Parts: sequence; structure tokens; C-alpha cells
Amino acid sequence: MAETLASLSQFTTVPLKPRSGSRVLQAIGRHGLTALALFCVVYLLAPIVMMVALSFNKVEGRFDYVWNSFSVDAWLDPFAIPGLAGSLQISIVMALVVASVATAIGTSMAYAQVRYQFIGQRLLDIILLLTIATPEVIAGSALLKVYLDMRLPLGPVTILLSHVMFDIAFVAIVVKSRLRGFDIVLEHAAMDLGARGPRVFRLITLPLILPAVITAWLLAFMLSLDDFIISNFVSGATVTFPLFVWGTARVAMPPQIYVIGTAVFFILSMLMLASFLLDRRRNQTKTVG
Amino acid sequence: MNVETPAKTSDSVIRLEKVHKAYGPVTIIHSLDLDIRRGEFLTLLGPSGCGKTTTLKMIAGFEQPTSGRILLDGVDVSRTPPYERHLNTVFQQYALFPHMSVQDNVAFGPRTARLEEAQIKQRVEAALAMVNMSKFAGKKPSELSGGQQQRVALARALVNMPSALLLDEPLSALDVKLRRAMQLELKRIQMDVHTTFIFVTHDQDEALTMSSRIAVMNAGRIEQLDTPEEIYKHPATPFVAGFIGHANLLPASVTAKQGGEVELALDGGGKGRSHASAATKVGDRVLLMLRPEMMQLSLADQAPAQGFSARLVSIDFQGSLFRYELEREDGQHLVVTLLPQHKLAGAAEGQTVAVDWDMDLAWVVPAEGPAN
Repeated sequence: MAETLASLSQFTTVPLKPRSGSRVLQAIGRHGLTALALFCVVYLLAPIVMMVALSFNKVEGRFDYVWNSFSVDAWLDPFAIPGLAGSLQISIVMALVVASVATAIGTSMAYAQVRYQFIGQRLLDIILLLTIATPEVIAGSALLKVYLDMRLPLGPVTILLSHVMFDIAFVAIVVKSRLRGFDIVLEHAAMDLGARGPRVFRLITLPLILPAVITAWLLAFMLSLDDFIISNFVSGATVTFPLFVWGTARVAMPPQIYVIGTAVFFILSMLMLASFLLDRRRNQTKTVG
Repeated sequence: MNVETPAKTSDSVIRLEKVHKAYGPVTIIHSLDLDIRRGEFLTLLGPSGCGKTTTLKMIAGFEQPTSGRILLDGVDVSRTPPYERHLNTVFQQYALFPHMSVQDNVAFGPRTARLEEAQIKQRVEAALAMVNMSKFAGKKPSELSGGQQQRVALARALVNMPSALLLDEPLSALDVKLRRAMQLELKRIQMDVHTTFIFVTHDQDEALTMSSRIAVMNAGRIEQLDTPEEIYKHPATPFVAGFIGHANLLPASVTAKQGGEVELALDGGGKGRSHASAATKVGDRVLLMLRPEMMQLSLADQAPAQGFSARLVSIDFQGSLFRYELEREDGQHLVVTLLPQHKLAGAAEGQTVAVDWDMDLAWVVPAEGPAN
């Protein structure tokens, strides 16, 4: 030991890493990252800003992708276009039902996957990922074939079935990540105090994973609301909002569509923000001490 | 299921009969028999991996024995789920429900049992008063310190007046000072409510302070089950001697026996006397157990008539006592502690000293653990 110390003591203190490159390069290095970040933000926000701006456009022709002048006409009469209100209503009702059904099924699946050991557990993970990874065009045409073979009339029912199908995977993945961080000892504690499975889930598990369940519901709602490709295959004569926009855009692009788009965007953003803040507040009170 | 007449022996609350637990090829618990008496404070003590927590989990119902039976108040509950056993647990990390107030946490058991609201209120108040947490009834667990959460966890379990309370290393997350205070508090509460406590810990001080009986566990077996004092003074195996307190274990042979006393010839020189169990016979290979505080040192040039000599390796002053490390000729090390007023004046490292001990305190354990 003494020998080691003696041999080490012959060295001097290791010098700090010398500065490399010129000051200009260093400045670029420092500010370049900021610039890149700003560019990304602008890039991501551009379509949203454009949508909001165009909702205030004054229309003069049929294809108005150009800016004419500022106007609030479209906001004052958002449902002026025939068929728009109906399609929006169909989409919203549909999305409410789809999100609720998919959240119930997806949450149960996530719970089963995290809590229990069973054969095919890994396989289920792969199936969930496959549902997400399958190109929608393929899924849509395949579903159409299935419905036709089953002689199911195309319409609201087939749209519902299809949307629930692709939403389940998203819900399960969101809820699963939350459940993995959930301490199973809390469930044991409830059982130890006399509670059976359903009571444990209702009073302990569900309240604690609720933020994730709400997030999953919102995600499912949005995915259903703006799905076009699959709906296009399986909708029959039913016209959802995205299908309506697609149909309209081929002949005209009225600013009312941007108005609805903007309104939906802001309402959903607020809901997302609210659920995020709720979650954060819970987490804060949980980690203190 | 094996229907047993509930022969409620007033003495026994929980009884483990040949309980065996294995995960695949790995055996965790080897055919364990244990009788837990009503109202006692029983501690399962052992190093991590000895099976103490698994035993507790089987009693609570979170694990099932591979074979054998667990009787609760005379009824076989081996396959009964946790929510059908009149037992409650204080978990290691408290496991309070973070989204409920202290009050609602404590009321969870009584509410689940569908007691009347007025009775629930009374019980919860009494339970919180017992642990001095009445002021905090409206707080969330996250607003409490570790010690306070611990109290709430205790109240939440005891409010149900279980047949026995199971405590899974509940003090291990607290700092030393708080742990000490909670040990005494737990003991007070246990005497207050007269409930059987089954306490799991790896901390021998904790076990000695609180228990009415200690089951020392090692590698899935109970090595000794006795009062703290008996376990400290008269360990049954080398493992127990080494695990509880500090023990110098010196190999020796029994040369003579009279009543409870034996004469020993120490391997590597020296001889002396000790107390021994009735089973000890002349000719037995044993380990002489000498606690650091039961020995005396003297400066001597030649081997003493009683005891042995050893070389001083180091002397450390530790405030309330002096600690001497000694080495015997055969290379065995031992530790002796002396109060400052009895310190060995003039002793220096490297010197040879004579070691003697108080015969009334000395004890021998079989060199091999009892075959079970």
C-alpha cells in the first residue's frame, strides 16, 4: 500500500482539458442548438398556425387556398355549409362511443398483462404493436373484406368496430406504462384489509391509474375523430367529418372547415393540458417526504 | 380441504405445521413448525434470504405453502386468501393509499367490513389516538414524515383488531434515532392492545429490545426459538451465537462434566470452564462462546493456569469502552471489550496477554448444528 502511494505521488495534478476551436465556432456550437430547437417548433406549429389563419380568411372563389382579407364571417356562421354539422355530429358521437369502449377493453387488457402471468403474454405485446404498425390502407381494405364476407351492412356499426379495433392498442400501451410504475403492495394492503378483487380495483387501482386512463381516452377520442383512411373503406353511406372534408375539398375549401378544425384542436388541447396538470399535481403530492 | 375441529387451544393463535415452501427446485422454507402464542411479541430474526419474510407472507396469505398447514385460531387457512384471514399487516414501505386521507386510510378496513358509520368513526378515532396521530386525520400520506406514516400504517392495521398483527421490517426505512423511539412505542402499543405481534427483522438489537420470544432463522429453518435473554446467553447453534451480538467462538473439547458445568481443553492451547446444555457429553467437540464483554485481560509472560494467552493486535478507544483485538497462536482472532476503568494499563500492541473469563457467563455450543 505504502509503495503504491509513493509511486503515485511522483505525478503532478492532471491538467484540465484545454479549450479547442475558435471562439466563433464555440459561439455557433452554443447558439446552433437553440436555433435548431426554434426551427423545429416553427416547423411543427406551421400547419396549425395556417389552419387558424385560414379560418379567418374571406372567401372569394371556390378554391381559396390563398389569403384574401381578414374576416370573422366563417366563425359567426360555422355550419353554413350543408352537411358539415351532420358529419361533425356523427364523428363526435362515434368518437365518444369508440373512446369509451376502447378504453374499457384496453385498460382491462393492460391490467391483465401487468398483473397476471399467462401463456402468450409476449405474443399479446407483439399483436398490440402489429395493430399500430399495420398500414391503415391494408387494415382498411382487410376490414372491408371481412365485413363484406360477414354480410355486415357498412355504416356506423362497421366504423365503430374498426375504430375500437385500432384504438385498443393505443389505450393498452398508455395504461400499461402507468400500471408498471404502480406499486402492487398497495393492492396487497387493500386485500390485507379485507377487500376483494373488484373493491381493490375500484377503490385503489383505478383512482391511482386514472390520469393514464384519461389520457388514453383522449388519445382514442382524437384518433377516432380524425381517422380517414380506414373509415373511407368501411363507412358505406355514412359521412364522418374527415370524409366530409375530403369530399368537400375536391370542389371547394370553405373556411368553415378550418373553423371547426381550429375549435376541435383547441378544445382537445385544453383537455390534454388539464389532464396533464392534474397528473402532475397528483405526482407532486405523492413524491413529497 | 381438511376440516379440523376448531380445538381452540387458548395458548396458540397461529400454528405452522411442517410448512414447506419451494419455488421450483429452490426450497425456501424447510418443514417449519412454529406455535405462536396469544398475546406474545414474536420476532422472526435472520439475515436476508433466510425465509423470514416468506414465512410472514404465508401467514398473511400472499404466498401459499408448497406443503404443510397453517392454522389460525385452530382453523386451517393454508389456502385461504388474505381478505378472509383475521390478520393485518404493516408493510415495509407502509403502503398507505396515497389518494386517501389518513382518516380514510384507517377507515378502509372497517368500511370494507361494512361496520356502521358511527362505529367506524369511533374506531378510527381510537386508533389514531393510540398512535398519537389524531391531529393529522385530514392529511394526505405524502404530507407526513416517515415516522408518522409508520404510525398511520400501524393504526390502519390495528383498527381491525386482528387475531395477530404482522409487521414486515416496518422500521427499516427510519433513521436510527427514530427507529429506537418507534421500537419502544411499538412495545407500548403491543402491551396496550394485547394483540399478538409477529415481527420480521434482520436487526438483532431490534429483536432483543422488543420481543417476548425470538425465532432465529437461517437458510429456511428455525435454529432457535426462545426468549431474548436465553438466546443471547445460551445460543443453541454457532449461527445463533454469531448472529446475536458479537461472539468469539473457540473450538474446544469437553474433558470433564459436572452438573451443568464442563471443563474444556481449547484447540491451540489453554483450558477453562463453562456452562453447557444437558446434552453436552465428555469428549464432545464444542465451540466455547465468549462475548467480548465477559473476558478479563492481564499482562502475563507465561500461559495462565486458567484461560489462554494471546497477542494484542490492536487497541481502540471507542468512548464508552476499550476494544482489544487479539490473535491466538493458531491464528484465530478474538475481540475483547473492557470498560475504561478496567482498561489494561501499560499494554501495547504486539504484547502477549493472558485471557480469562467469567465462568458463569461462558457457554458452549455444539461444533455442528443440530441435525434437523
